[in-house]
Amino acid sequence: MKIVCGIGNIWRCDDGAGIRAAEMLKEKYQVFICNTYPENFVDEICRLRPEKVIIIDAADFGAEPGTFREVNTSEIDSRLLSTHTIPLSFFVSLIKRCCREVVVYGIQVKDIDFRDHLSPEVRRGVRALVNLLMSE
Amino acid sequence: MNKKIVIEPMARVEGHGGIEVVIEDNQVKDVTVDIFEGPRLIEQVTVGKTPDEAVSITSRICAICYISHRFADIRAHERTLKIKPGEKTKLLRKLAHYGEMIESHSLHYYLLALPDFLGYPDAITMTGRFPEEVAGGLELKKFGNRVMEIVGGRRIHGENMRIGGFGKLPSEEDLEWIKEKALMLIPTIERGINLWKELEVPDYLEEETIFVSVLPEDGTFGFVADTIVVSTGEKYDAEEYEKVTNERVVPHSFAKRCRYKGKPYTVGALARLINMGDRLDGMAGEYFRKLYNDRWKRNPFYNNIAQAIEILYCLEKIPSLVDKIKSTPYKEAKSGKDSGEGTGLVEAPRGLLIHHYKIEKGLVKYANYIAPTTQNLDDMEKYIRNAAERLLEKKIQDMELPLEMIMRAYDPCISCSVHMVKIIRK
Repeated sequence: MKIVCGIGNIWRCDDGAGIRAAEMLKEKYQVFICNTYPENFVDEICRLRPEKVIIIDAADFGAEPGTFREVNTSEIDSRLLSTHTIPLSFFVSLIKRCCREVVVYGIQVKDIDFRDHLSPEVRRGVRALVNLLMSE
Repeated sequence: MNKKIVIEPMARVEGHGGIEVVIEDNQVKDVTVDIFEGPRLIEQVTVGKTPDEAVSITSRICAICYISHRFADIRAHERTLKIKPGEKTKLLRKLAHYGEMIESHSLHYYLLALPDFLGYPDAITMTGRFPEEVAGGLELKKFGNRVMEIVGGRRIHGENMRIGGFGKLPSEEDLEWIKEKALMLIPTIERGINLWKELEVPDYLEEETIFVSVLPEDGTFGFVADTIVVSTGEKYDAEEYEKVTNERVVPHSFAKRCRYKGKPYTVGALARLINMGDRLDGMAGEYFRKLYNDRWKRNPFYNNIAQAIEILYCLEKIPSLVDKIKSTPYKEAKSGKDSGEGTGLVEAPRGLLIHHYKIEKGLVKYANYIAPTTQNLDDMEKYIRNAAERLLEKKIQDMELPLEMIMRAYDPCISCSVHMVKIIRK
């Protein structure tokens, strides 16, 4: 089984990119909409014994908005660990305990203001990533 | 030796804060905990709003402790407008609040504090050697989140808890799930508490201090009351809170500071157990009596184990609380008053939380909120100074981690502690 985890906040414009992408992949993958608390889904995911977990989240790596790429966990800032936020690298390390193949896709954001829709560039980037993952 | 130690930003705390220690000629000259999170101005935002609007606004002071802020705010309005909530309403609020305690404490204890004591830079690297402990902590946090979601209406900033009652009552099925899951998680927190027994607690900072918390009037251990107790013996009604807090502004921090009779004090889980631990029953009481020693009164690191014991206390209380909720009929409470003044107290996970209002003709005229971290900042600086002085005497050069551990032990929530500075126009 292959799982997709959509991470982010749909009320913060392009921070919802991961969730929007995940919603469009339900035909082919077992999808979890993790919002901003993916650590709450670790048990459920591991119980399914997936062969691959794909994590999709908004990111900022200085590229053109809507660009997506695979992100190495060493690139993710692990310092932001507090009672209000657990870094993605922590979630990845927990998932790796039950699944060998874990891939993280980051989609470059343009705008993370308080809006409930994606910017046009990021919307296009989400579609491109979805097309890629549907064709795998 | 002349040296300036700057830890900025602090890791593994919520919000943006840092520590600065200035050493001159081998003496600690100055210690400041800097808060550079900007002012929130929430007290001004609520002026002119209705009490219902104010409740929704103040919930948003924090995402993690939204239940505590909402609870304190509702209690303040109910005291102000003379509204007496029904029994089922009070029980449901307690359940939501226990969920928040479990959620916040488990995250702090397992992911933020334990790495310090087990010698890891963070929980990620700790997961390799202690996978069960980390998994257990996350399981507890998830349970707490779910309780907050079921009763509060949402995981973050739920609107279900209202002045006088609730919007929607949780289903029998959800209540039964909460009860069963709480019982299942008791062995998890017991393992977490037993892990503490193996750990070495640093002693390079010890000094007695004052502890402040609520004191339930019915003689039980609890998180809700209209009485403030100080470990020196004095008790104050909620309306007299300013005799305890005595807020003041400091130049190096957006957050105000508090002192009791000129002395710094501590609030939080450690304060609650020092002031009320003898009222604990069940396994939580047994573990407290086994683990308590004199060092608790002079060492803030024991706040961590105090949190773990409180997780156990909440889990133990939930089953009977759920049974009472199910057998108690619901009744909404209303008020005819539209003006008054009142203060609501609640113990947030990090300590005593105070919301105070003056309402005139149905609108907020004045608001004052004092968060627990604001009250802890002076004691944090005191203990960091103690540690810096003693480590200096022992000629220890690398002080950053030991000093950070002290601030982390308080589990500070910096975005809540940023308190409005009053602007006087002349």
